[in-house]
Amino acid sequence: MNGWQRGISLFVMLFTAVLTPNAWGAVIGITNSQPLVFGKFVAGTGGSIIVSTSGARSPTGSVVLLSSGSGSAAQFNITGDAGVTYAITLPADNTVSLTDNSSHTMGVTSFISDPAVTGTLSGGGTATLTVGATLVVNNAQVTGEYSGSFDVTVNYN
Amino acid sequence: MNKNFQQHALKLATMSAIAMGLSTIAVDSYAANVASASANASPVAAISIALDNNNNLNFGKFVPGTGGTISVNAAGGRSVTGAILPLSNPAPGAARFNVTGDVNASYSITLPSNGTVILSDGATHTMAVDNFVSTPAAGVGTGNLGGGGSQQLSVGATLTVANGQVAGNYTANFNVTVDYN
Repeated sequence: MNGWQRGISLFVMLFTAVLTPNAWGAVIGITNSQPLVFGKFVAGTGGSIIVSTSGARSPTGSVVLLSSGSGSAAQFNITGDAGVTYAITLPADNTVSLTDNSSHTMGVTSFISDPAVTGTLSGGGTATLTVGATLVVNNAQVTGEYSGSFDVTVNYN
Repeated sequence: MNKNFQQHALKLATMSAIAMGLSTIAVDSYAANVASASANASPVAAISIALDNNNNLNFGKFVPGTGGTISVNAAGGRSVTGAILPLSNPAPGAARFNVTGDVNASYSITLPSNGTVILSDGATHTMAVDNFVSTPAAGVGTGNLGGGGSQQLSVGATLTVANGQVAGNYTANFNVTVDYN
């Protein structure tokens, strides 16, 4: 076999190995079904809002929550091999922020999830993951609608 | 020479194709095991309350007689107990406030406690004002700013008049507090 024939063979082998799904089970997948919502509040001189994995809000500092705009945890659906465990990767602190698209921002930190760190797919190969976090509210935060996005990763472990 | 060049070019092309093939399998937001979610938050204006058009709580003029009470309700209606003779001019009236803030927000209303508001004639004579009432009523989340982001809040109370209360003009200030809930 000459040089280029070996090259082509190598290319075909690599192509096959990379693009064929794992022959022993399903690829793990995750989709988002609900956003993370911090709701309505008055910033005052600042503080934070913690949204728990159940969607309950807790203010700190001088932040006042309005019941007319409640919060909710983000929700994800995971699929894969039945009974297999998986690891969850949440955004690190200082990587996510919300903006009003008019130069005003608020950081989102301390992401938490349920399950936390790892989970197990059900007998049907599914799992539900809820994600909360802490919104950092600045002194005299300008009023408006702020939004942003974040990624959640799952891997078999 | 030509054949070697062709072989060399094909090897390079093959290696480039492999490199490109591998680089497109890098994990990003579009990979099956990564999902992106949106997050949002809505800071809104603080709630505020202000007296509307100088509509103060006014018990009006009256002859105290042997004393009793005068009540002004949140609608501005006046009733008396005891031997008090109410006079019609000036007319009595409830205090009226405008509460403003975020649309459809509910809010709590706090009125003065009994024993905290005392009218004085500026000399040594006083009359206590108690049993504050309001529309909407005092309490947690009893108010709602509706689609216009505002609501009128009316406040009444009961004045205790002593037997032979000394004639004069008796005044005091009182506070009403509102908070989003």
